[in-house]
Amino acid sequence: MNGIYWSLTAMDLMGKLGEMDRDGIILFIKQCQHENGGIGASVDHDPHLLYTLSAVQILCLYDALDAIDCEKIVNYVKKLQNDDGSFCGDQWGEVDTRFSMCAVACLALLGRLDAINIDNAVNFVISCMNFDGGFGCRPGSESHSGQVYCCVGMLSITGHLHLIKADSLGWWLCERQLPSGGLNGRPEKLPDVCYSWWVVASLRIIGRVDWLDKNQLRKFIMACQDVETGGFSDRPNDMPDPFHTLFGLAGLSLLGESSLKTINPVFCMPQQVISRLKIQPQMLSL
Amino acid sequence: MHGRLKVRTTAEQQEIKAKERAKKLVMYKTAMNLIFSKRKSGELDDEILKMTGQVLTENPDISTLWNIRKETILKTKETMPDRVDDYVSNELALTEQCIRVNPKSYNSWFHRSWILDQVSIVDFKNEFLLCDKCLELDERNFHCWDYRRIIVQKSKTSLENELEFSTNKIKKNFSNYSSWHYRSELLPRIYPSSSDQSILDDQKLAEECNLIQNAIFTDPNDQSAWFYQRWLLFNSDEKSLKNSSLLSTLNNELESCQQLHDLEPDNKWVKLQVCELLRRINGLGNETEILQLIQQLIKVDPLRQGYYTYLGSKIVEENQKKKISESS
Repeated sequence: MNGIYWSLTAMDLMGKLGEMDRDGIILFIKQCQHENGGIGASVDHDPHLLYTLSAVQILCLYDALDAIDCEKIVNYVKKLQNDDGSFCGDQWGEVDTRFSMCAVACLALLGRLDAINIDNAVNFVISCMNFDGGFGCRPGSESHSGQVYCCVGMLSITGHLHLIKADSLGWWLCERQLPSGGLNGRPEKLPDVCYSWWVVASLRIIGRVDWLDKNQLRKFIMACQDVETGGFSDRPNDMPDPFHTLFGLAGLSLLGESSLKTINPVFCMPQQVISRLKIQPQMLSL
Repeated sequence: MHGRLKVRTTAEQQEIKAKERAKKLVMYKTAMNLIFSKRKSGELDDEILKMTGQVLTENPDISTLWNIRKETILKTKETMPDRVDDYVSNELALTEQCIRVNPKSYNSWFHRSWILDQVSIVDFKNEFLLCDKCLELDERNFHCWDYRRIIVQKSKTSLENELEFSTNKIKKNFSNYSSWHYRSELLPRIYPSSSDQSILDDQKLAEECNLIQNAIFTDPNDQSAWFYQRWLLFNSDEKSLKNSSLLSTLNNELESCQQLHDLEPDNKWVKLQVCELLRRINGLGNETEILQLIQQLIKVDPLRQGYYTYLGSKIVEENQKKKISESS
């Protein structure tokens, strides 16, 4: 399911969504929905918030939310919220700020943010804020750009960005840029194209995207495109895959690439889809 | 796919690879179909454990297979409570194996912590040993650090023990950002400050400053200690700093950072820190020097000129506010 979302969003950004098998994909999603409303990675696989969000995103790309039972999805998400505001990924109880983002993004796309306790959800995410202004998986977990994106995105959707220490976080994020122009996910790590999404989208949401060198980053992303297949890999000369292809393109779109559709930095979907759904996530400015 | 180099191959090699992949796919699909049909007919037994285990050691990230194992364990607890221990040790061995295959597998780590909740007695020594082994291989594996925090909580291990662990890791390698992070969580809980200005009690703060000095003089280009130092020192505004013991700490830190700056005139980290220290100690009085440093920062670290430009204008703005409030 995640793979379909990555590939379709990449195609949509390039204006080629029409080349994909719309009916087949919608049928597949229907087959992956369970009685409890949640959606699995594939047919016969258990439901999980990660795949439920991807499925909802795909249906939004296709403007086809009516193909499945959305009220059931709302109930599924609602039941995964814990008393402390956090979300489990599924019935087995793993808690992670990624799931907080999945839950609110899913409900926002369905227009049903009212279904959960937003204050508690926000308090939990804020309890994961660290000494460097970043966020981790759970309270006490180290900051990681992927988790930062999830938490910043979650706070944007729920309108609580004022709780972020934007200057500290912005500095930590722009320090992810390495001499190669590429970005890493944590201090002293290697660059990876996917961070051109997690880091740059976070910086955009908190209004500080000019704190890094966009031209150098663009060069790095372009160097990660595989000349044979056209796909993008994590670093130059590695194997390309759909995940890095989407985040490479999404990063380029954030940097203003005119041959791609504009991407929404919170939902990682084309802005025109988010506008059609009349969703306006909060953004900070300097 | 991370860090997998693309190797140029001949058409013949590609064909062999494609065949291998197709064969693997058929095997995977056959196994998955069998597992799903057994699950549907309620056969949560040793065979399904064996089959899911085989697939998981190849790919530990199929969460449904871990769920099937959890269901099987829960069923065993009900039907054969005397055999639960065997099943649990089986799960511990499998998760360890999967963590070896993919040390960053969210599913394997979560399954292991779930398993610990299913038994009344846990051999925590064994769990800490696993973490030690894992952090030996990659001292920044955040999954492992998170797991360690889980077992610390479950085993009621003292925070002091964890602080010592963190200190040892840092002394082994100052560049261990994960361990600096851990300290930032532990220290305020063990040594809370009695004043509003500081984040830690005075004696501990002095000790931490020493540790940071060791780190930044050893490798001034490593960012870990710089981030940590900023958190440790910059918690209060200029006004509340007046006559506080923290102010003398900041002056001491400024002095040693300036020494380091003389030794490493092009190092951006020390430049930025001198700049921030001057700003906290006396932003208005030091404005000229601060703005000079900012110009130098833009030159030595052009990637972040946007940030430095913002910082400069923010400090000027702060100073203007101070001027207005002083004159009124």
